[in-house]
Amino acid sequence: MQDSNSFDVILLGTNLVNSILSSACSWANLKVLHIDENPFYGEVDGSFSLRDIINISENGNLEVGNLRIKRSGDDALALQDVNIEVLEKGLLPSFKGFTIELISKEMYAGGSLVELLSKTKIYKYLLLKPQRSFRLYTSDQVWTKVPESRADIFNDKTLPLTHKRMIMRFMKFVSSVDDNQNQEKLKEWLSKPFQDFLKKNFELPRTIQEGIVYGLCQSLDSNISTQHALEKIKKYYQSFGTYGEYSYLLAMYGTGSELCQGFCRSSAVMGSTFMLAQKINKVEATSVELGEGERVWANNVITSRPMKSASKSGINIRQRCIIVRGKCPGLFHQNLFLLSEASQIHFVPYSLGDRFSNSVQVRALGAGTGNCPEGYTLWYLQTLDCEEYFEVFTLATNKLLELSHSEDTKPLMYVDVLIDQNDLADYDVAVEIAKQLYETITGSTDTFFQRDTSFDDDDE
Amino acid sequence: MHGILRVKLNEEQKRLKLEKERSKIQEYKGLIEQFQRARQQKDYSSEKLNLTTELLDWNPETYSVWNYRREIYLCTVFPNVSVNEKQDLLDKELQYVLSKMKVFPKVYWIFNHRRWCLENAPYPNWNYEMMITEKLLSADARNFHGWHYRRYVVSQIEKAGNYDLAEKELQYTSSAIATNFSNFSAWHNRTKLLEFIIKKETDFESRKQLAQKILQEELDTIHQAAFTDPDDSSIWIYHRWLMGHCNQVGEPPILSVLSKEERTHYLRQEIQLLEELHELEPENKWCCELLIEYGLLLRTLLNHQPTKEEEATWISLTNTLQQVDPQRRGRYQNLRKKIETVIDA
Repeated sequence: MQDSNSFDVILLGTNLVNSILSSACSWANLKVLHIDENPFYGEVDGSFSLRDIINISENGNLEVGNLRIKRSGDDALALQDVNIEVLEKGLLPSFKGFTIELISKEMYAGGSLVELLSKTKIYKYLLLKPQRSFRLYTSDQVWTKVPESRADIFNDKTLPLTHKRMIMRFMKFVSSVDDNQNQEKLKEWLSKPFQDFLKKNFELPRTIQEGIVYGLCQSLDSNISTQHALEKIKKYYQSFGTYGEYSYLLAMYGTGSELCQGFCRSSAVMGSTFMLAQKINKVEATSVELGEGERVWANNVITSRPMKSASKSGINIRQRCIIVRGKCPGLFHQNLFLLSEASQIHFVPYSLGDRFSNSVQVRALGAGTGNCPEGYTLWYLQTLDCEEYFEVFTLATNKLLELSHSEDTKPLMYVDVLIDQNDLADYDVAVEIAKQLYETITGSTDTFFQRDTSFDDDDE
Repeated sequence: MHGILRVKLNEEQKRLKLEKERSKIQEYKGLIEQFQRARQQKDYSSEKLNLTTELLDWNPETYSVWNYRREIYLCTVFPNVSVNEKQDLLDKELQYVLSKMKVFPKVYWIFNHRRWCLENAPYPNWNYEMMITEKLLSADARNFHGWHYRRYVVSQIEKAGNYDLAEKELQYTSSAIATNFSNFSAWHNRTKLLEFIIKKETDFESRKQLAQKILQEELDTIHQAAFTDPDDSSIWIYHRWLMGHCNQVGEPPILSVLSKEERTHYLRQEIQLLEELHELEPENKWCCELLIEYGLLLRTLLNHQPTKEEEATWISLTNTLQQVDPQRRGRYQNLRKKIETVIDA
C-alpha cells in the first residue's frame, strides 16, 4: 500500500454535501481525495450550459444530445426523464451565456449555509445576488403579495385593517415560537398538516393562509407538516432584512454549481486532491478501484447519495426551465432605478383551474444573475409530478406571459427534468448532513471549519 | 500548572492596564487644569486653540471647552483676518466638527458648535448641510438630533431662498414612516410641518377644507399602523396630537379650525375604531386609556353627562389598565378618580 495512494478520506461525487465535507476535512488537516466521474462539479446540484447538450449538426439541424448526470459510485441515475423541447428555433440566439440548473434552489440569507460561507470566507469565491418573493396567484385568480415584513403589511392599502392585525399576530407567534408557552401549544400539532394548525389557531382569511403556505413556505402541496412549515417561516423572517429587503440569496452562474466549486476550491487550497472525469470501477468500504485498475485507500470512503436518506423518497417533482426572450420587467421588483434580478412567483392550488390541486412554484431569473444573456430571462417552474403536469405548466406559462407586461416576451425552448423530492431540500440541510458525516469521520463536530481564517485576499 | 500561570498573567495584565490608565488620567487632568487656568486668566491667545483641540479629541462632550474655543476665535482670531480668511478658517472648523460628529452623532455640543460656525461664516453652504442630515438620518432614521438639525437647515434654506420646503419635507417624513413607522422623530417632525402648512392657508374656508383633508388622511395612516402594531407608542402619541389631546399650550392646530359638530364627528369616528381594535386586542393599554380620554372629551364637547353604561365601561377599563400595566397603577387610579368627579359633577 503506497503512501501516495493512501488517504484519510475519499469522497466520491462533488455534490454540495460532499463538497462541504471535503472542505471541512481538508481544513482539519485530513488527507482528502475527491473524485467525480462527471467532467464537471456538482453532480445533481450542478448546472450545465446549453451548448453542452445542443449542437447544430452539419446540415444546420438542431440536435439535442443526451443529458447524462451520474452520481459517482452509485448506479442510480440521478435524473430521470430529461426532455428538451425547442419552440422557436429561429429565435434562439447562439447558445452562449445560458446556464441551466438541474435543480433550481436558493439560499436563505439567515440560514446556516450563508453563515458558513461568511465564517469561512468562501463567499469570496462567489458573486451573490438577492432574490425576493414577488407575487402570489390566489385561488380567486387574483395576484397578491406575500407578507414579508411589518412595513409591507403597514403599507399595503388593499389589506383590510382586521387582516393586518391577524397577520401580525401570526408573525409575532412565529418570532416567539421557541417560547415554552408556544412549544406546549405546538406539541400535538407538529406532525399534523400546517393548514389545519392555522385554521384551528389563527382566524386568518383564506388568501392569507395561501400566502403563508405557498408563498412563505413555498410548499408544493397542501400537506406540509406544521413543524416543517414553521421552521421555514421562521427562517424566512429571520433572513429578511439580514442583508437587505429580501430573504434569499443566489450565486451568479448557477447557485448549486458555484457553491460546490467554492467549497471544492477551498478544499483544494487546504491540500485536497481532486480528480474529475475519473471513471470508477468498484467501491469498497476502505478502498476504491479506479478506471485504469489503480487502487486508492482510505479509512473513510464517502459515496454520493441523495439528501436526507439513502433511499429515494418516492415522490417526484417536475421542473421545467423555460428560456424566454424578453426582459420581463413585470416579473421583478423595481427599486428606484434598479430592476431586481431574481423573483419568486407562486401559484396556489386550484388557481390555475379546478382540476389542479397542486401548487406551482416559479423562479424568474434575469440577466443580472449571470444565467442568461441580456434581453433574456429564465423561468423555472416546479410542481409535484402528476398526470396533468404538462397542462399545468402551460397554463402557468400563459399567466406569466400576461404578468410580464411586454409584447415581445416569447418562450423559446424548455428543458424538463424529473427530480426526487429529497433533492429539493433546503441548502441548509446539506450543511447538517455534512456535519453529521464529519462527525462519523473525526468523532466530533467541534473542529468543523474551526480554523484561523487568515486567507490572503489575493489567493488565486 | 498552566492555569496558575494564566491567572498570574491576568493579574499582571490588569496591573499594567491600571498603570496605563492612571497615566492617561494624569495626562487628561493636566490638560483640564491648563484649560481652566487659561480661561480663568482670560487667556484667549491663539496658541490655546491647540489645547482645546487636544482636549476635544480626548472628549468632545466637555461643553466648556467648546465655549472656550469659541471665545478664542471671537476675541483673538476673527478680528485680525479678512472675510475670505474667516471663511477658510470656519470651513476647516466645520471639517473638524464633522469628523467628531461621525463618531459621536448624538452630542448636543457638537451640533451647537456646528451651528455657531455656520452662523458666523460669511458664506455658509446650506445644501452641503442638507446632505449631512441625509447621511445622519440614513445611518439612523431615529436620531432626534439629526431631525432637529434637519429642521434647522431647512429653515435656513427657506430664509435664504425665500421659499418653503414644507411639502417636500413632509414627503421625506412619509418615506421614513413607510420604511419603519416606529419613528417618533419622523412623526414629531410631521406635526411641525402640518401645523405650518395649515397656517399658511390664509382663507378661512380653504384652511378648514385643508385641515379636514389632512386630518382624515393622517387618521387613515394611523389606523393602518394601529392595526399593524398596536403596541407602538409613537403612533398613539401622534394620534393624540391629531385629536388635540396633548399637552399643548393654546388651541390644537388642526381641530381649532373645525366647528364643534365636526370635532365630535371625528371623535366619534375614532372612538368607534378604538372599540373595534379593543375587541381584537383587549389588553392593549393605549386602546383602553384613549377610549376613556376621548369618551370624556366627547362628553365635555357635547356638554352632556356620560351615561351609566359609559361610566361602568370606563371604570372597568381602568381596572384592566391596572392589571395590564401595573407599573402605572397610580396613573390609572387618578384616571378613575377623574371619571368619578365628572360623574358626580
